[in-house]
Amino acid sequence: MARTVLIGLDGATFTVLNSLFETGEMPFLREFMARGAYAELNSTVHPLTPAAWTSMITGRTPGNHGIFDFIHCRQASHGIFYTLNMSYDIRCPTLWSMLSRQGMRVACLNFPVAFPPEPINGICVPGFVNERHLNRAVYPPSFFEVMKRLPGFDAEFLSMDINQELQSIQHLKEDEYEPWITYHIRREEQWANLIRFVLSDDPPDFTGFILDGVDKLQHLCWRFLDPVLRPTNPTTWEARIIDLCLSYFRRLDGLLRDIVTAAGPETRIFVASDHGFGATETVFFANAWLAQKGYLTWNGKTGSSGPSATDIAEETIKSQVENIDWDRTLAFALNPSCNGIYIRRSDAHGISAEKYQAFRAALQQELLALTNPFTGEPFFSRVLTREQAFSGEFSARAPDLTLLMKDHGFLSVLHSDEIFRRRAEPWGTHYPEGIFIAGGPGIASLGPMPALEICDVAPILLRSLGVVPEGEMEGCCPEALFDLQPNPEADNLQVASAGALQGQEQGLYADVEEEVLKRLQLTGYLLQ
Amino acid sequence: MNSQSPIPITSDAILACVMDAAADLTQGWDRDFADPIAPESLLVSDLGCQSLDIVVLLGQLSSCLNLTDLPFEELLMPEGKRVADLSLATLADFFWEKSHEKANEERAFAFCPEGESPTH
Repeated sequence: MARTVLIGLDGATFTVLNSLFETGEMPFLREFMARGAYAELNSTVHPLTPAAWTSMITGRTPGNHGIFDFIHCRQASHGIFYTLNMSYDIRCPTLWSMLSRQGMRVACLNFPVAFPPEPINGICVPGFVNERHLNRAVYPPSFFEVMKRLPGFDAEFLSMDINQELQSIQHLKEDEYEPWITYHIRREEQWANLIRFVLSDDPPDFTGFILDGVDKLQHLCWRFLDPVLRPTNPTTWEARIIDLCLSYFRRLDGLLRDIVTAAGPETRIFVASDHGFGATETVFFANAWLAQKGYLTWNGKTGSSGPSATDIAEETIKSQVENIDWDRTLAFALNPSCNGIYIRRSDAHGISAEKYQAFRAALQQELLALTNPFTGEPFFSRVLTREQAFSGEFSARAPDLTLLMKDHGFLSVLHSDEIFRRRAEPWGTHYPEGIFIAGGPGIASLGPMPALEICDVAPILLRSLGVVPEGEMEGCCPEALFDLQPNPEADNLQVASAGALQGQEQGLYADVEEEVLKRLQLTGYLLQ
Repeated sequence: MNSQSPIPITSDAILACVMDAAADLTQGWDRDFADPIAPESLLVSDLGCQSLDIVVLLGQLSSCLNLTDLPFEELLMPEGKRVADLSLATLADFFWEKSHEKANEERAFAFCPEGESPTH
């Protein structure tokens, strides 16, 4: 085994990185990539952050890990109830839980769906946590005190203000771009500072972390980053924003160099993104279309979406739920991120079990027949049932239909007088092709490799650590990636692991009360 | 699977857990409410919780009580109407009820012949 680090760059794509390599903006990553192996990394069917990162750290597709979105919904008799996905909604073992069970020390930093943190043999600082909750989100709780003592520590930059973050997928005023980009540079610096500390002070066997600014900048500034779209004669403001974007990537490159240096030459480094990026130009108003077709009824409280109808926000989801007449609605889109349409399942006010398959198939065909009014081409590349998109034990938690637009855009749930609207300018959206780069001792200098699947990453990381996967994984490790001599130590570790797992089995299914009490103790609740 | 029937945690223990979690959640917040946290304390008007705080609290309690996939709509949206506020005692009652239901389900499974589901 070798100490192993997974560097997650949310949304990173070779479309942008290659152009930055050519212009010399990211010399460290270019050199690192040139010495190792790299490939495109195909994301989940619908490339979305929580589903894709969870696939990366479990080796399972969403139908088998149970995470399809930031939220999940439950149909109640009176309407829809939705809530945030939590760590316990992941229905299969994560890398850090597997490695912990085998006695390895781990650190996971800034991953989505990591709250509440699992008790692991190491450190967890979950991502997507509000500053109000960061201190109780960290595992072990005492590590937050360690974090606070780090030079320059600022909890604001290690947490997430959902309203501020939503700006990255909304339009900002021109004068709001600069502070937004600067904020993300500082945010990466804060995470990098913490990561360097973790790696330099008795480093764990496995460290995984995500730097998420790439995704945020690309949503907002895609037209300045895509070499095809970048203005050739920029205005003064555009030139300033382009320069700031390049500053971000130069700083990111420096932070990556510092992190890899802190990890040491004996450490294997894997860089991966959860999805790629590209441009989207057209918005589809899913609920407006469903209303037009008679499948959805507004309750009369909502008006037209107005000029900013491409906005996406939690408040919007809330208002849409409240603005739908659930007794007269058969199908609806709950939120934009999962690109899903749910079918109201109710004998009284929805589609009965007997009629479900036929209704869904008809809806699927109607959607596939839609054409983009601006191009005349079919609007969707695919419209998939939950079984087609996410086969697996937990596919019932997925939307009934998942819509994949030709330009990979996200749908809008808002009320609108139009079904399609052209954006004023191209916007950054998630494309399926992410990145994978590997380097360090024992990594073959393969250069470009055939594309990998996102579920391949977990088996690759386990291979690097000399650990046998716990349970089934849908990905696999390309053996050519490793240039390893037979390693008795790793072989012994695998044998030991199997024994360790058997021992754990008894613990896992131990008396429930004991388990509850243990969890209470682990999370700081001590019963009298 | 464990064939032993689970022994449900007591209602008092769950209430203590809920109150501890609420105290932990609100620690360090600026709030007008000066009284000590009690079973009748209301999440929003007394403790100053926002909706995200309630989600976090429910998540932490679910995790530490090992009760996942709970129908929180029964607690937060009974009869399709959002509740304006919630006492800690009500929250504890909900978790106690669900822990009891889970214990009963697992007990029923434990007595079922292999491959058969219990009837309810």
